[in-house]
Amino acid sequence: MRGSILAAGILAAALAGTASAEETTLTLNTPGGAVQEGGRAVLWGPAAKKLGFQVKEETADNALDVLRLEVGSNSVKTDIIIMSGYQAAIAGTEGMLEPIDYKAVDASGFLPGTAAPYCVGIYGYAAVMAWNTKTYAKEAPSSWADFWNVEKFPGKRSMRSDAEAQVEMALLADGVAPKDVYKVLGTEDGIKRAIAKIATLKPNISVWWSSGAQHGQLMKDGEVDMTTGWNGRFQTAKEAGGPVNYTYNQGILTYDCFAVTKGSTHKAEAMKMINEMSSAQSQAGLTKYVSYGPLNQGAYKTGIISKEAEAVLPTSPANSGAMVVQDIDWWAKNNDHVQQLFEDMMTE
Amino acid sequence: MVALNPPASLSVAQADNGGRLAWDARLERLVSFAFTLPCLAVVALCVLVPCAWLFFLSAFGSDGKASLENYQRILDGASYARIFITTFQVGLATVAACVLIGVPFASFINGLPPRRSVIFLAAVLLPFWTSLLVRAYAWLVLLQRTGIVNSVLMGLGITKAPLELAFNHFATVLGMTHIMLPIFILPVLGAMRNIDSALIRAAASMGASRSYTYRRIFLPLAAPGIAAGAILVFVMSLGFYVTPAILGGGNVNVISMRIARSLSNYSNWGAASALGVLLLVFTALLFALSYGVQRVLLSRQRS
Amino acid sequence: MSSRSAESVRIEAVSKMYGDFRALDDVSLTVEAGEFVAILGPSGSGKSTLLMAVAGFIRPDRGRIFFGDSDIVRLPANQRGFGVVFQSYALFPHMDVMANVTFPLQVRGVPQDAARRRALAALDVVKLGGYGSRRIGELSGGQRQRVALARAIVFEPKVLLMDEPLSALDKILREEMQIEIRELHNKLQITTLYVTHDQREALTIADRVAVMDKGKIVQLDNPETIYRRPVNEFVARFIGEATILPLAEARAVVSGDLGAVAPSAYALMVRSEDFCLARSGDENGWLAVGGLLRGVVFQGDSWLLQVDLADGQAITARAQKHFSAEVGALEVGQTIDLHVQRDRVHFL
Repeated sequence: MRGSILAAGILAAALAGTASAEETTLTLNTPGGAVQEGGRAVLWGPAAKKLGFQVKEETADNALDVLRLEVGSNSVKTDIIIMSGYQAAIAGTEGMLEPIDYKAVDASGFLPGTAAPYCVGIYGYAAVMAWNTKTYAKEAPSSWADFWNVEKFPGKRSMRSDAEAQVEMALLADGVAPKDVYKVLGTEDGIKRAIAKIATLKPNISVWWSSGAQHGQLMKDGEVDMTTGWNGRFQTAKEAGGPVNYTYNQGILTYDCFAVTKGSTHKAEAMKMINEMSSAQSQAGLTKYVSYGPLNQGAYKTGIISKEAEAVLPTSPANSGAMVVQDIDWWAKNNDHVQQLFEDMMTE
Repeated sequence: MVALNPPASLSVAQADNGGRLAWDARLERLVSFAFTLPCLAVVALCVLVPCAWLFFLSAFGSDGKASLENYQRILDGASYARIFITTFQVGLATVAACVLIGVPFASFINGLPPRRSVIFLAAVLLPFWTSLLVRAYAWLVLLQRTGIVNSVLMGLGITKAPLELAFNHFATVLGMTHIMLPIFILPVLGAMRNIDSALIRAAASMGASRSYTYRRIFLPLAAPGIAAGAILVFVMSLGFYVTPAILGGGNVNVISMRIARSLSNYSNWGAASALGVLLLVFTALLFALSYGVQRVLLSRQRS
Repeated sequence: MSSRSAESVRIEAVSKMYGDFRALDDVSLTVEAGEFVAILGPSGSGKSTLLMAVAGFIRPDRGRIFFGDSDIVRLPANQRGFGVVFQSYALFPHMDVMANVTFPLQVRGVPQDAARRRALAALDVVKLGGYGSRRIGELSGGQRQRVALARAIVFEPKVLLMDEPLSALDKILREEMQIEIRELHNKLQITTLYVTHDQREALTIADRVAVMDKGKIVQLDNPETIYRRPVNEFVARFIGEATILPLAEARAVVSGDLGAVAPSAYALMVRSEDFCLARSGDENGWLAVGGLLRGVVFQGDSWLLQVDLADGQAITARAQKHFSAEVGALEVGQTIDLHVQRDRVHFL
């Protein structure tokens, strides 16, 4: 593994080595798509202009692979990288990221837990519960306890074929208070309790979804009556007139963020850029491009976000209070173990 | 001394000539070997190198040090054994379904006059050219809770509640059988076409009924083809990803899905490679076993 | 292998078309009980079609086939109970010799011990005692032929049908087997229909020979009559070597008295070996024809003399070995007189 990284890194270094310029050029790695398009328009575009930097965009499917390649081969060219909070936590513990300098980055207006030691949130999204409005026409389920209550709400369920966010939901359904979820998960018994709770629902789970497109389709087709999933998909299905509704109550809020590559030659400039891009104005502007919620709560006071838009965004003051912000550090530490137990349960 | 040697002129001439002829033969072999070099290079590049890479990657832990932790994890985790078992179960069920459907169907096609057999063969082969993804979703459209089959059954009043046809082993095996059937039927039909029709007539002339002839003569002679088809189907089934992922709905967990998860979710090349290596080893063992079985079957026929 | 009461096979007005091709054209033929009839003809003459119709593998378009007194034309092959020997032997490659030979007995439900005993006896008859456990692949062509024969007679069929059974064997083995089959028939007295394209084989082996051409039987007679008195030019040419001269021409080139000639006759036929270089015995009753010697070919047991007649027609004569002195005196290019006894001339 290391050998290949070394070889590829030397190649990359040889190709990129001549890029030192009179003016600062920051290399920014994005997942592409709407995030890249919107980010160029309202995040790094304006920020670079203001600071007098140049931005070179790169895209990658998997940010962790990019870091492993560049940091592992000691040929860092990416300065700022967009990744999930969970990935950033892993990369941080593996020593592939610079700690965020919160003297340079103002994150005071952020939702608690969304400005982490190694990364600063850009937008938030939530794993929530959605249901078929025809099946539950009289009374809609409103909590994870209802999701697990197959007597009161009979019907087919779907959960993710991955433990992420599902174990939190299980504990909430089992009566754990939102603020205590990660305290309980901090013990082996707590993890087992969450897995066991999911196991009790297994006979009613007809599909384990593996992608957002899939759980959106399952709800639209009426193939399952209730599912876990991401708020954006359900909002789309709802707007398209599907028999779908969802609630932010007890949703698991998580986010994507900016991080700085360990060994970046433009560390200070990167922090300045991130600070600009984390402003209320910037984050509010991004909602025009993606259906994710700004994490800087000031964004909702800029007047850029309409009341109607605010009502459906997961990070709005009205919605975020009912949610649990995902503890990415806990996931970074426990992922392999939890996934293993989850898989044992799933395949049993 | 002199007396022991054959006449000098004769022996020299013979030795000379023999050496030259042997050289010619060697040159001829070298030239024909040279023609295979591009092919060998492609095989080495596309098969051997990636395989070696797979073995190499699997021998490193997540900390980048050489270790057997990837294999240790597979031994320790309860789910891995179950995933292997599920993979083999699905493969075997697909083989069984292919044999049950494919052998009678191939026999039927084999018995048709050439022009009509082409039509039926085309009907089997046609789905071959549509994508795996399309076929899996087509089955989903048919089988899911709100799908065509359930709609028709409930519309006709045959069933009250929708049957659970999708997202299980049944749907997975059905979808895989659909895909593998042409791959199974071709070698089987090939073997059947090679059966001398005089043998069937001979059996009839000796008083054997159609079904007796089919059981005692036709099927045993088609057996090597059936075995070849079954092995092909089984080995290919072990690597299926799209069909079990879509039609299994997470309830059918096969190795390829686990490998994909290791890669896409955790970027754990070592763990994924270890699974790949184990799959490769199991497949190779099965191949060796089936090769032996086939050789026995064939040797029983042709001395 | 005890002798049994034989039955006759009677073919009545059987026709079979393949598209526009007339494979069998109103064929009638009776094989008497215990008789050995060879069907002789070039490929495409319909001889195999006729045999397959009797065996039950081909359904005629019209006509009847009697076995004894019963019409079997609609009876399936497996209910006719005829022994069939195929050109390709049709031995089951996945069974050993014993299993092949006991197959028809197993079909009939003969107990295993008895079946084995009878198979051993049948193998003895074809001189393959001790070969029971051999695989088919281990046998030579001649041995396979014998196994096929044993398998066809082991269930004591009342009719034996053979479709060019010796055509795949080399000449010496073929001639050996002809004698053996003939002897086997003498012993078992099974009513036998034997298809061959080899005229010598047909003459050697059969009680009577049916010569077929274009889907019809053109002559049915004992071997000597077929040879000596062919009914038409086709039979004359197909069987043996013959010189055929139209009568008008013959009268011009032949010296001597042709004698009484039937009004319908249009040509005369002389077998090549009936030509002599000199007259012997009674000087009377000889005819002669003169020509130019074009070539002499030594063929082991005889010489072939190629002679051009005065009117340009080329004929061949065959001089037996004991004429070596006379042949040695000949020179190519010289004129030569060929003599033939009057009663050796056949009028067509």
